[in-house]
Amino acid sequence: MKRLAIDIGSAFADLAYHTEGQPQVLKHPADGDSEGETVMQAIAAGAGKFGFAVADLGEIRIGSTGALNAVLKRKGAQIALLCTQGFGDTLYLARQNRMDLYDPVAAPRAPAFLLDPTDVHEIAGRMDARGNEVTPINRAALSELAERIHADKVEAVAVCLLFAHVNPAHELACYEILSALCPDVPISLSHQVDPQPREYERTVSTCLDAWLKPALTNTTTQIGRDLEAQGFAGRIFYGDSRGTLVSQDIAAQQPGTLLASGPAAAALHASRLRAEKTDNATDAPARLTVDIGSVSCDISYTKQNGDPPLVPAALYGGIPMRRDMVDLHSIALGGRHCAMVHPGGHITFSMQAQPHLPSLDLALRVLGRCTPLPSANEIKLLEDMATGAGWDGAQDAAARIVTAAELEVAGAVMGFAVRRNIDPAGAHLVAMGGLGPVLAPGIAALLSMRQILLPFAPGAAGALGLLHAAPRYEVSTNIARPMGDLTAPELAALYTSLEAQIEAQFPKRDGLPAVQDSTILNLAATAHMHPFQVTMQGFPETAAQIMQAFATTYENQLGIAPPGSGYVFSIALRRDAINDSTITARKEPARDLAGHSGVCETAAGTIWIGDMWTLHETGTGFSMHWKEQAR
Amino acid sequence: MTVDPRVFQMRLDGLAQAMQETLFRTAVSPVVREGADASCGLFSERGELLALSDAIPLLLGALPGVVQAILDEFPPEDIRPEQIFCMNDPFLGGTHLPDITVMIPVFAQSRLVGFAASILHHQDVGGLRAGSVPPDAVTIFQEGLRLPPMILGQNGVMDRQMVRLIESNSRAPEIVLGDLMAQIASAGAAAKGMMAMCSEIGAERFIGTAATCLDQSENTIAALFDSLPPGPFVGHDGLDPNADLPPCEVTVTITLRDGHLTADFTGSSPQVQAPVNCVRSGPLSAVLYAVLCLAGKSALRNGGLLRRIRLVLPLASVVNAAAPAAVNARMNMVRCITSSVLQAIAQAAPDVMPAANSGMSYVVAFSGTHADGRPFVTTEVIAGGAGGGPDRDGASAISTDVGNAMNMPGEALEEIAPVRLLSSALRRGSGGAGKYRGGDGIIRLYEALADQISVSVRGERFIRVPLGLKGGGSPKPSAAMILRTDGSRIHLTARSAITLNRGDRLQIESCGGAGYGIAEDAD
Repeated sequence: MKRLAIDIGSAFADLAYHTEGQPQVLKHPADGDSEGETVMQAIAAGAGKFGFAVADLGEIRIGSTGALNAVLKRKGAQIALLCTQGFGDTLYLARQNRMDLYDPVAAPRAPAFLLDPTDVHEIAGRMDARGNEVTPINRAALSELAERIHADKVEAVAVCLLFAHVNPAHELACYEILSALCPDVPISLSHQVDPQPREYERTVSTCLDAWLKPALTNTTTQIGRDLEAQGFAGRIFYGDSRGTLVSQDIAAQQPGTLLASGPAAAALHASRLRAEKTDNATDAPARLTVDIGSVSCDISYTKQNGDPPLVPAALYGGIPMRRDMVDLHSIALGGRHCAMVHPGGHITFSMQAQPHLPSLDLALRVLGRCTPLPSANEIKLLEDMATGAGWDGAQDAAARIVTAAELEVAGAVMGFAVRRNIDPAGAHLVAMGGLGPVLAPGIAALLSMRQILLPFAPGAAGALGLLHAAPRYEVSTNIARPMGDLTAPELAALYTSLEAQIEAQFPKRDGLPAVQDSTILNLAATAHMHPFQVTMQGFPETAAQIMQAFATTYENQLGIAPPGSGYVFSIALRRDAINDSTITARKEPARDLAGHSGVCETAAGTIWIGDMWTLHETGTGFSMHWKEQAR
Repeated sequence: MTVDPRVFQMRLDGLAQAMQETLFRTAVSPVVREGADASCGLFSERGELLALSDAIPLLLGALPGVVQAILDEFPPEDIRPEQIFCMNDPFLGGTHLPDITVMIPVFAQSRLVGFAASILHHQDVGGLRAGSVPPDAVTIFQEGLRLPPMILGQNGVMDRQMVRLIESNSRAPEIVLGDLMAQIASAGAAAKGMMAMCSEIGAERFIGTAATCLDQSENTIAALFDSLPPGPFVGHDGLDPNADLPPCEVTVTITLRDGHLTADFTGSSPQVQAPVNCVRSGPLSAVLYAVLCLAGKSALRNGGLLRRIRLVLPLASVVNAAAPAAVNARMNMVRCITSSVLQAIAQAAPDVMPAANSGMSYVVAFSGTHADGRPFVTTEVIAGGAGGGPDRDGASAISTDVGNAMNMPGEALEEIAPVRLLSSALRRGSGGAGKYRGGDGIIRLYEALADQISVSVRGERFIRVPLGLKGGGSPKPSAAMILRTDGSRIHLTARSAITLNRGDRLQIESCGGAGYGIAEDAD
């Protein structure tokens, strides 16, 4: 099958095209007026370079840092929130704990940028904790509100009502009224986006969904339509935050699942690299990956050559996420960030484009680590900075900026690693993204890391990772009941229903990739404890089987028995397709890079080899060793 | 193999943090699961603090003293790998009786390399009232079960006798036992992490590097203290005046000499016949918090800092109560102590410290019996506003200084208790005016859904509000009120024990933060 993977970043769309053996890659400027247009332009460029016809492609896989960059740049849709009377401040109150414990001036944790306070609307109607209606919804008032929302021209609406995860009737009534009066406005319902208790976290999830949805819906619709117009009849997948692929429909319906799609795919690619030409690396050191692009730097890890580990919840891009995702940390630092000098010579970076300030990218170009060479006007920016700070010219200023960036990334990698009980000094550094390879030697030296892995085409790591990813289908249903209440006939009926839904999405039939089904249960010891995800092969037939699986998982992970008789929040049926694309290692003509230092053009793109490093080819890229230990 | 002490310290910090996250995920009681009222630490083989989780600084000063008290009773050379220890005695290093510490030893390569310990606010350990924070207690004997340093169990399991002791004393034994097991499990996870580090670098080098980290931290903080003006700097604060109480005033004099910080609380009020007294861990938490703020990221956060802190505490005072004083409601006294210490520190380092924070935490507990006879107890902590900073407004509705408790979601509260949270909102306009405004407090309104619901309210700043800095204004004071179904309104005092019947409403308003600078100078 002819597969094309596209990873959209801020500056470039990266393509990886694969039929058999080794994939081919291409970087194309991401300068379309919309993300959809960028994708189509990139596909056209790929068709020209790789010689395929769009109609002949069997599959297109799309990943993007667009959602993450929207979060980092605080640029999303104008949304309105409908919430329960008395709870309009939920997003701003957050959980009342602060960002940095020892900052004397306490800073809040809430992602308040998602929602303007004037767009919050409290509505009557109340459910109790068991899902019983306490106060009915006021349909007339809701209709008036819908008209106001229509007049306000908000781009999307989030609805998060108390206890909607137990009984969604009021949220569904809101949907009915709003969708009738505002048919063009996407509506996100909390019980569908994040069916778990705790109103703050669910409000964040729902607002994020609404905030991202207009742009992502437009993108997926446009791409689907344009590809169809070009005769494409294959399948379109989107990379998600777990490093798997989801259908176009799911991508449009659940944009929050895509937040970390590009970084997750790149993390998957990092896990597939060889450390040495021949190694199977079963007892390989941990890998810490930095994927540095033009806007953000993503950090991930793997151990023992496994896939990147998943976490059930995370603070990502400043947003508390409550969904499975690759264990990632993202910092706002990339090539486009401007450097600012503070009194005393301390350098910080800002995302705001400021024409009088040099960017990190420019500093690297002045040092000759990137192309193109800087113009005279650009060099003057650094000279002006050097003059103001009392430094020794443009080169000195550029070196200080690059060192400041290396320090910032190294600090973030250190913090990330130690939280996972990894000593960076004993780990390998995987460097990806446009700037990863040129900053890696400096970062590794700061962390006493002695081996760096660079993939072929590090700037296209996300696209290559998408080729490794496998499609995943999932259908879920809310339960919100004690475990013991579930009867065998109920579970059987539930399975029949979920199986039918997933068959409709991706049937088990000849000619399609092999699949593996599993059941994902969101469970807790009691109704009010934190949910815990349990995976079962096959579908449980009795509540006792669920309890057994829960107890085993709980004890394995935490070392104690669950302190309660069990509660089921939701049950999902998952179907994972087995990835049938076989990507082979590259047979790069041997090239003697040992002893080379400075900037080096390789199949892994532009690499900067520091004085203390030496380079080896591995079959999946290069491995850079600290000379003291170089063989 | 060389070991970078800073990396070593960060890994220990990471382990302590992961230990805490395990604890929060497995805790049964709402005050821990939702409010995060617990703290974890790792200790050296001699009982010196190696790493602390980012939890509630109010508990910062407790773990080192408790661990030392346990080791005084059970010397390290006699400790066996399988043993689990516990303790909650305030007068031996603890805080108040609900805060039980669980500690396990960590052995690697056949030798003791350290300890993992956590302190957690338990739902009920007996005493006069459900929740074990009786506002009317006058001695510790009314506050619940007091555990001296003792063995809780072994090999990850509690001893049967200890289980029976808890069952016989607590109104919520299942919750307490569940949380104790969570403490044991999280300590076990941290111990595994420490053992993994020992297997990487060797037990001996682990111990040696830990000692280096402690020394580095001590040297860094000594240099910082030497770089500041020596003082003396005086801070002063106190609890709201109350007709039923003698004055509860805190005076602290801070001096910075010879690489040491001395906090002398001479002049503070004698202890009182009310549960507002605090024990030594309170002032230690406040001073350690202030030192950690001053140090920023320059010093490794470990017990090396404690070597350079000296406390002078008048015995049998509100800041250092002697047995058998009641201490359960000591939180707001610790907040006053912290405000005093921060006032003094602000004189030494005026460019980094904000105007006064709300200086209070509301603790509201509901208890009673469900219609089916099941008992319920739930405790929550409500924050106020932050003081305006030297360069920005204070944040609203946020836990500040030695507090960092999380709030109680309505969806969690209503699942546990027959109480409906009708609203939870910013208390707009309650922050002090200033060039940089103080943050606003919070207003929460509850409705009882059953009769005979006991409510314990422990607030502060009803009368004596925080003062603005450099011309900034004071915030609105805290308030609490009951709205009965017959339309009557009852204004509550800062420490109240009341009963709600079906339909009665309770309104809580927390104090804002103070303003910084003159309001007319605001942009």
